[in-house]
Amino acid sequence: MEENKQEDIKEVIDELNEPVEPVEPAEQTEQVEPEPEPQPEPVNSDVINGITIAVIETLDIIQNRVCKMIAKKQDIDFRFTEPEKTALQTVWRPVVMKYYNKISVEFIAITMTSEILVMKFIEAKKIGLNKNAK
Amino acid sequence: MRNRKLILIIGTTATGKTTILCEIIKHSKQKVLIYDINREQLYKKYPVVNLLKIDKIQKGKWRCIYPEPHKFIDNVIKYYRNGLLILDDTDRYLSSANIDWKNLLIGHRHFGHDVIAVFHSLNRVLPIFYENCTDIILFKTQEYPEKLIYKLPNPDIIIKAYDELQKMEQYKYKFIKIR
Repeated sequence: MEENKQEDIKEVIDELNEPVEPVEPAEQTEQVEPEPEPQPEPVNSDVINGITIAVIETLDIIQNRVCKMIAKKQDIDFRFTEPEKTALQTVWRPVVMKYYNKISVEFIAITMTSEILVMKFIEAKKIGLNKNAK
Repeated sequence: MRNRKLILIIGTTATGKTTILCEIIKHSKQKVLIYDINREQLYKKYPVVNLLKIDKIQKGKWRCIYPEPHKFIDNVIKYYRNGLLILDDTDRYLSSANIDWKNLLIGHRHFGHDVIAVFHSLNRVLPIFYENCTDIILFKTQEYPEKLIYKLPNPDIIIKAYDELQKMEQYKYKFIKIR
């Protein structure tokens, strides 16, 4: 195991660039052309507003819970409740995927049950959702 | 001549996984196919390849955005040869039905694939990834790795790395050679 250094990644890159025995290609040799990237379909603004409200409500619940922990001077040992997980999975991710694709979707992974994630949600809500809901 | 690699990049959000991945892609001299199911902004510079034309990629860096992971993996197994395969945000489709992980991961050498798969936690990684991986790039995660002792390859080294990372800054990582 190596210490964390920039050289580690250089080593990985160098290793990946070392020669390897090629295998038989699957088929043909024709050139491939880039495809145009499909754009999200236009959607009814009522649907966007409805989903956005649902997201904001979920965020409010999470935010309130964190605030209570802070107020009670409890350690923030955050775990999502099952309804929150469901809400985040079914509502938040598609919203981001479709309408807010400038926000990284990585932090949505529900495996990240940390205060960092909660703060990111709150931050996203402040900077993005209210503005985009209009 | 070296052997083909299966590298796991594991870490919680905002630790620098994508930054490392972008460096590797940028400097790769072999052709690259990224499964960009999230349509990440960072990959926008790479052209999109149709799922049915994966076999025609001869060089360069491409991304596929086809929304059905099992079909993407099937086509990679059948048609993609001699290149680097990037599976970003693997957690997201890890449990999708019908994905032939066994064929992909056991057979990647025969298909001429180097594979890099990205996960958010040690716990989420399926055993078949651990059984076949050659290297792990571990960032901070939030879990209890000692509970995974029977699942991890070289558990002592990984748990030691995990513990050390907890005391380090957010963007630090450990590079662990498995085999």
